[in-house]
Amino acid sequence: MAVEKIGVPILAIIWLLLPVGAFSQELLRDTVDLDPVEVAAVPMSTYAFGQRVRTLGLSEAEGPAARSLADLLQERTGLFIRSYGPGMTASLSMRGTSAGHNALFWNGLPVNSPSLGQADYSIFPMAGMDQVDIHYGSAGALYGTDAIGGAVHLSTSLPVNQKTSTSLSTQLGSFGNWRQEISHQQRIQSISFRTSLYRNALENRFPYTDWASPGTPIRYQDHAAVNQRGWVQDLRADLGKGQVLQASLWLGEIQREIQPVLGSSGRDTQKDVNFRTVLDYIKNGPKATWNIKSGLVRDRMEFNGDLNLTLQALLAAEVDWEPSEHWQSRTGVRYTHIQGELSTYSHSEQRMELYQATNYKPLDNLGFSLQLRQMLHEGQLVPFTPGLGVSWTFFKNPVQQWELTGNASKGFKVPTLNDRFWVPGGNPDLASEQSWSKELGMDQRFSNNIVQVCNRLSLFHMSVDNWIIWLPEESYWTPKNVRKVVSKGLEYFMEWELKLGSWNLGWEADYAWTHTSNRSVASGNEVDLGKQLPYVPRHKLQMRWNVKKDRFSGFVSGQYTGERFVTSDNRTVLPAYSLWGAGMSHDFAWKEWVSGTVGLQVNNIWDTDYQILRLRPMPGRNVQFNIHLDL
Amino acid sequence: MKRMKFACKILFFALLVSCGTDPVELPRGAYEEGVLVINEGAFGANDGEIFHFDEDSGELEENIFEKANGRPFAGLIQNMRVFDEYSYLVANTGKVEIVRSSDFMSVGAVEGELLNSRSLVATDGKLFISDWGAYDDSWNNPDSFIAVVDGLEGGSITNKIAISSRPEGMALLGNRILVACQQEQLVSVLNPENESVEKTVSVSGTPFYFFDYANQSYLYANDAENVYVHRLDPVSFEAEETHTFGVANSIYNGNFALTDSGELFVISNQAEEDVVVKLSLSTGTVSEERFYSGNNFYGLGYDEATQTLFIGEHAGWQGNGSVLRVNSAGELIDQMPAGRGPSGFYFP
Repeated sequence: MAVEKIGVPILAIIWLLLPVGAFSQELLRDTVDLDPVEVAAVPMSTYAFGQRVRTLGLSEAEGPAARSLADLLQERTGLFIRSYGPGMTASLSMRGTSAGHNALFWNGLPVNSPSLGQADYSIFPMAGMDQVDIHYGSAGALYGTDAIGGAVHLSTSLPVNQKTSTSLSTQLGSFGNWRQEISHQQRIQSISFRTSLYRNALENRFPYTDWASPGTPIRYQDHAAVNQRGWVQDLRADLGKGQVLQASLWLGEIQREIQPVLGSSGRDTQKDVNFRTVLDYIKNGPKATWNIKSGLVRDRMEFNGDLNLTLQALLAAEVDWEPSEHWQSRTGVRYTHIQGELSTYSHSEQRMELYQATNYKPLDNLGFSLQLRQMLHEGQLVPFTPGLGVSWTFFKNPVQQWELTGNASKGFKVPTLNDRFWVPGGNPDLASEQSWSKELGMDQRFSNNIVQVCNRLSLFHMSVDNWIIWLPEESYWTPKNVRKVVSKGLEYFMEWELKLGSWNLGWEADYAWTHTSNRSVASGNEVDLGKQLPYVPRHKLQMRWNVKKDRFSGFVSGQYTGERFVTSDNRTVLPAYSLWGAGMSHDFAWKEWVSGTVGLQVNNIWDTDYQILRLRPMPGRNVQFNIHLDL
Repeated sequence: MKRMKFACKILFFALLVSCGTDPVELPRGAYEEGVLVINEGAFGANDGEIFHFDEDSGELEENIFEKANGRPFAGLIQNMRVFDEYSYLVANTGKVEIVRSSDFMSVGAVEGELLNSRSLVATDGKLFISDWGAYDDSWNNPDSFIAVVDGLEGGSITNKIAISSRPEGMALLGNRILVACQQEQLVSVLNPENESVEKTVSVSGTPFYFFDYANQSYLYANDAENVYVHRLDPVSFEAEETHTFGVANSIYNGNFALTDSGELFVISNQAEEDVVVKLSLSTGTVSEERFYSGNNFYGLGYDEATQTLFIGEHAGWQGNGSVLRVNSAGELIDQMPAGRGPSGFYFP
């Protein structure tokens, strides 16, 4: 048996490295039931009383098989992803902010590009994460720069039971799309590890209506192929006496033909190679937990021959301790070295941050969080960043509880390297963008033997000042702190789970209403005052119904995205659209040593012709077939 | 823009000839009167469009291409040329779309092998399209060409004539086609019959567009310090006279406007603002250094009938732009919304 278990991954590795061009279908990664995970470090969200943190477990087999982080957030949340096409650049808009106003972390390591100040959510395949946590609202005091609209945390974790196992997943889909993943985990004495390899080949030959040509012919996309492969390695060593060493590494490569906007004959190509590694030493004591973290992120992006390299090296230390049952505290320091070798400039810089987060629970049903952060950036103090939250459970009995939450917090964004040093036009005198966010929320939970219900409503108000905009100058463009934007809105989340005999039924809905308003604009753009920001839908609704009985499970999902303005004066509008999907899967076991899931899902069932961004066609109805095997 | 006026005159002449042989007068189409505003569109968004402004009623009609054809233009409009009954929308995103000038209904397109089209002339039943070609790794365009299409309503490209890098404006002079080539600062002379380059003529400054004034052909060129207006010899195509105007940082896309009395308006990007400078072709001097000033100026047009200067303003490319109307005294008449990057005007 041992020989088999070693042999299978080696064979699979060879198989993964084979050329894939001849295949016309894709290999899907199933959503996999994962074992419970052990978390040694204290999560950041511990100190987020009053703010909403939603965890997307990826172990729900009935959920849609997301292809990347961008697809996952688009299909499973009320968040809006600005996607330039399937597998193309995708950025997140949270609470009406722009792409650079959200922080993204992988195992606690900030992975937003320091040159662009944002992340491309399409280059993060699901193989590189076991859990996704979404922190809504400004959280600069907790997470540092970029967390103005919110933050997204990706994490990998080795299962607690440490059993030796190998899993294989494959997805075949419409338009010549094929995904594969293999993962092997094992424990040798006190050391456990997991190795995952993935390969995605998307030909993306989907039909679309060419609105740019006379007669609006149906054409097949011929320049949107994506080839992606990568290696994710997790390692955990239990050193005894409550000490743990955790390491993770992610080496990924993605080559893309850039899908041209309708009417253009562009043949751009982009290749990204991303290397991320993080090492944590954690010591759990009776009252304190120490965490020393080091990490490295190296991004290499080649666009049509232009090469851009960035590097972030991070060293951090923090201690969590509980001086009494009412108090909980975290104190930390973080040093970051950033280096950029861009096509038009080179620059390196240092950042130092001190932060303190404190929880105070005077009563069982009442808790406060206070977060403070001070960043020193190139010897200059970035404005002090505080946050304060409260959570009050005002009603509780054995079947239900009601909770009120409130929060006020500040966020900031240090101007990107490109903003400050791009040649020509970079403006080294830019100030950091600043935000103030306030929110009120109510949580309600009900559960008995048959049904579990969860409702959450949040109201938020956020003001972002010093918003950086690139504007044309005499002979080139330059960024300036010109815009002030007020964003307010409502977020509602609902979840039902019903057990009727051997039937499990579920219903989930996530809705966001976002209203933004320009309060200050560049000279000459006064017509934009009071207007909604481009590509911020006022309404986004996502719903999902699940059913599970014995080994069978199925789902129906739907999402509605409201109108989006194309321009800041709100004179051009893209129509709203609805997308529906459905799927089913069946678990199976064969002999003693293999079990798995086989599934089929249909996306965009009604073949809706829609564009997330204007003149960027998206695929119509498509089918995915997936198999997941556990050996 | 002057090429458009030139084309307009050709159209007018053609109409005269046709009227002479055919007594039936066709009613003028809705878009053969008033002012057409050419909105270039924003990079990456391909939202170029044509607006129509009725000077009598003051009504502005947006997106006339999309209204007429039920679909967006989907391109960045570098140039609009009018020959006979057709208007040719030349997109630098790789297509030329041909519409009937009267109602803007599309009658065809040139697609496929165009990459970065700049301008066009129609002659001898053929279309000649200047195209920069692909960029190389150093952002140069070594493979520029003139695309030839048999037929005035579009279709496939039958020939590609290699030409000096970055061909821009085109004009008919006699029985030859002139092409302003930016990179090497020269004019290429094409024989449309055998579709070949016959000669090249070097000029001062970066050449952009040709225009006619007082029955003579001129070439507009510039560099960082000056605007050059070359009067071309109709036989040798050499610059027989050059006016050099000390206007710094005139707008890079060469947009300018010409009055019937030989006054040329150009935009100068200055440190804190954009200035419309008025030049005189008859004296070869700057008439008014600050005819009008403001920000984000991008295109110019002059309506001889009302003696009104139209200025396109791009609003910092943050959204749609606007059009300013300025009278002959340099006073603002009004300002109206336009599309993305209003870069030029056509007065049918």
